[in-house]
Amino acid sequence: MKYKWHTGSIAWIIHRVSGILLLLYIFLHLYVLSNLKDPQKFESIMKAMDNPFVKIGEAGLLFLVIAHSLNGIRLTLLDIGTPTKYQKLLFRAAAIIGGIIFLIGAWPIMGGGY
Amino acid sequence: MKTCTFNIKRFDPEKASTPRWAKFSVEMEQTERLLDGLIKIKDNMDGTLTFRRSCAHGICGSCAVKINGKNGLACQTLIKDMPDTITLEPLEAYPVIKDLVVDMSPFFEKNDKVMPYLVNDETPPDRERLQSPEDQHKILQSITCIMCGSCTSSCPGYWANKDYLGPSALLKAYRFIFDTRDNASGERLEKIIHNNGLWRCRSIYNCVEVCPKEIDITGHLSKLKRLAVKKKLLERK
Amino acid sequence: MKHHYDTVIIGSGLAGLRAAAEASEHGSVAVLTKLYPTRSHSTAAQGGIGAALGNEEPDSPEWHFYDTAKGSDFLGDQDAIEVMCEDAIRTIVELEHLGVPFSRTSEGKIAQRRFGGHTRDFGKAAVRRACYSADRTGHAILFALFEQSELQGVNFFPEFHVLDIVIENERCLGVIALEISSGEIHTFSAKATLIASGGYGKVFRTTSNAYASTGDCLSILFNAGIPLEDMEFFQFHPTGLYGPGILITEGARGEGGILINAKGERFMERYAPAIKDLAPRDMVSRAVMTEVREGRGINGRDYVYLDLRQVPEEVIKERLPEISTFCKIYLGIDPSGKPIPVLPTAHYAMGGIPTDVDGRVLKDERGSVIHGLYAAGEAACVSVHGANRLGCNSLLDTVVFGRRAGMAINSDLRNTEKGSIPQSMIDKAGDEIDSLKNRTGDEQAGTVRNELQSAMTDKCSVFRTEQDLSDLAGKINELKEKSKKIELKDKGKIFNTELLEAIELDHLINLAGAITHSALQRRESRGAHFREDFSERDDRKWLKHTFVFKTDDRLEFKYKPVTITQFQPEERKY
Ligand SMILES: Cc1cc2nc3c(=O)[nH]c(=O)nc-3n(C[C@H](O)[C@H](O)[C@H](O)COP(=O)(O)OP(=O)(O)OC[C@H]3O[C@@H](n4cnc5c(N)ncnc54)[C@H](O)[C@@H]3O)c2cc1C
Ligand code: FES
Repeated sequence: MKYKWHTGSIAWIIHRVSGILLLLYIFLHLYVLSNLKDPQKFESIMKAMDNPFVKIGEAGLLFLVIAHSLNGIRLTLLDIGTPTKYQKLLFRAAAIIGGIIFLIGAWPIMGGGY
Repeated sequence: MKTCTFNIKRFDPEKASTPRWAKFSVEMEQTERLLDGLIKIKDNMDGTLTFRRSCAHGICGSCAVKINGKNGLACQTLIKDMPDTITLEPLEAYPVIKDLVVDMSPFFEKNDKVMPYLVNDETPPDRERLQSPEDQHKILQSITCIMCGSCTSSCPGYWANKDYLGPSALLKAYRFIFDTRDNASGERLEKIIHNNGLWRCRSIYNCVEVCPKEIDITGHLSKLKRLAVKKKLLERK
Repeated sequence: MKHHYDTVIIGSGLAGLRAAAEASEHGSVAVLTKLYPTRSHSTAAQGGIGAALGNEEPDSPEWHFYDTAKGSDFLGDQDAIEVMCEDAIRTIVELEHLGVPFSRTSEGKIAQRRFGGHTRDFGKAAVRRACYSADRTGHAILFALFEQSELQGVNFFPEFHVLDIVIENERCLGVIALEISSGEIHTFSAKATLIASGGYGKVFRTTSNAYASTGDCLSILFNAGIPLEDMEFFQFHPTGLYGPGILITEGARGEGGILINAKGERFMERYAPAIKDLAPRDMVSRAVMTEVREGRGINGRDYVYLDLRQVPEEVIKERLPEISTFCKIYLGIDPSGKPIPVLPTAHYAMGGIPTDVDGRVLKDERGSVIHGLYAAGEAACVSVHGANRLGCNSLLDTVVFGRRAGMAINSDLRNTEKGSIPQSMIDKAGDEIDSLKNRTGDEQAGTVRNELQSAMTDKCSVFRTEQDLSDLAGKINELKEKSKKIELKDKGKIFNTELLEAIELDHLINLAGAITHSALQRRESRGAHFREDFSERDDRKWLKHTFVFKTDDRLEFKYKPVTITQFQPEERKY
């Protein structure tokens, strides 16, 4: 039987996975920027950005950033002395706040306007 | 009375090289302990079932096992809080000796690495050393540890790296570092500030979830982390 | 495998560890224990360890001495009691220096609380004498002693089950033990062997004792012709949780808890007007059982209430956290809001291996010793507890006499030659294991054990009669026969706990016989031994210790006078 998942371990897995994916993204990002010297190529890359899959990818990126940073804040708070009994509450709060920020941010990415 | 199915992961090194699962149907009272069920099985159904136990009320630390995917004490878990089917496995991450019995020596060895004893070389006074109730409270939770091994065996950090000291040993270090009567705290701290020590704790809280004594282990470790950071910063200066 | 040490200690409870620390200063020490050291049952001790520190109110070792002698119903040997009480303060201070995390008073001294039978001014009122670490005192002391003895280089052999103690020509040569994890037999030759193997509460059904408390070593010595002393005296603690029998410390009453019956009446006022609920355990247990028998048990059932509702919640949280957790886990009760159902539970063996005040084992009632053999702790009978032990005196006993045994070993070692264990004894131990594994029949160990424990609890507990005891003696013989027909399913070597349980069961049956027959002999009531057919204490005939010997399956009784120095026997009123 698999070891039971608790809030803390879920948060930890999310943190780990988002961390690794963000690292990969940084390489991707550097690659894109390295094309700045060649206006044409850059133009075509920017075009590709309109592709709906890329948009979903960008929303995903937003999700990773939010998840990693909010959990990072949660861990920092716990490390500087927030009592353990709040660790689950902090996770839930992070999830809710993160969810809202995500919706607000993903809407324009996906082409919606305010 | 209710009929419970005990689904137990078994291993007999003298008979097979891999574990197997065995099911037992046992009549249990709601107020009985899981341990009572194991004893009924051993007494009346299969004498070969092997597990550790002694005190039967959660104070000696013998009977920790994985219960439905979560570590806990068999003598402190009541039938009324369990589903009809109860899955029991030996503690994760320690070598299995037989059935639910694991080799705890890796666990105890970690403990020995943190100077787990009070050090005070000053000539003792004629009477007790004084300690205020507030100071005693600093170590109050940490002294209740029964060394059952549930915490370290639930820690993903330990699963990944068996050289990690693990929550229990670090808690033991805390118990002495924060004891006002001890004067080897600095030395002890050095023994745990390294990559396989304090810094491998990733605040996953699995240990807190399982501790049968409800010790806030991670909270204690983050206190140690703050102390370690402070010490290192001061040393820089 | 063969090992050689100067000293071999069986048991890693407080007695064994304290002795180990002492003996390791002068020679090599091995500690054998069938559990991991910190799992020893000393860890379960809750309430406190007694010493007249006087930290909370005036107290004196002499009052402690008097209380212990009176508590023992004057069967305790007063020379030994004096030694213990005089050494108590030094002992506690030493434990504190070793790191025991005692609870503290606001001035930072060791906190103390009231305990049963401990009084000021020779019985005037209850006194605060029990030093505690919340209600985890045994745990706190056990860990400190274990940590320090590891530091001192004591060699531990955890999960080694002692099978035999080798005695030849009145000299102990060492120990034969089974390494549980491998099933291999190991021998430990030694100049000195100390038995600190704890109690044997598992002869009873309802008990506060651990599964490991089976008295193996007492039974081994008994079979080897060494007498057991005062076996009829077994303490029943009045407040075991109704059902599992888990202990609720006397400290709960020390902090203000009271016992009430079905009518809500504080019945101890009638039995012990001066110190009421803090009377000694034998009296309180009898009072509880009397209430139950006379129909004043709660709902007409066989229990009473321990009421902690008037104890401030902070006090429970600070000083009784563990027992309050037990109530919550096992009964679903919060003791601040609801009274706790309790009944007497088999708790402590006053009787055991006879020793002198330095832990040397006596081979007869005249005081001759077996060379190289020592005992301390609950396994031993010094006797400081006589017919009834006072609360918080046992932990003190283990540490004081554990240390003394260690010192005696150190001084005896100088003129002792190393012996070695004859091969024939090793073969015998191996053969016995094989014969147990090959035994055939249709009996089950669990059934026989349950029958034994039920019979003992029903017929040999708080109240005893000739009829019950002789029925019980018959039953024990019957069970002895049955046990020969137990067939083991587990024939393996590795971690064969079925085998160990079978061995332990034989020991339990053996000790049950010693208890029952000693109780049959003693036709009086004293301390924990209450005979309904002889309900008075009879100092003229019975102010003496029972020594029971086993010779060719027959039991023989001899008696040893009690040492009385300072306090003449008087009527025991509280
Ligand atoms: C629930 C409870 C609460 C108590 N509270 C108090 C209290 O508040 N104050 C007080 O003064 N007293 C108290 N007592 C009594 C006291 O705790 C015990 O009498 C004392 O701890 C016994 O210590 P010990 O060292 O003699 O033996 P134990 O601590 O019982 O140790 C026995 C040792 O012997 C070993 N052993 C036994 N048989 C074998 C074998 N065959 N082979 C190898 N090893 C073996 C065991 O592994 C163990 O290490 C309490 C007792 C109980 C049960
Ligand atoms: S048997 Fe002691 S903790 Fe479970």
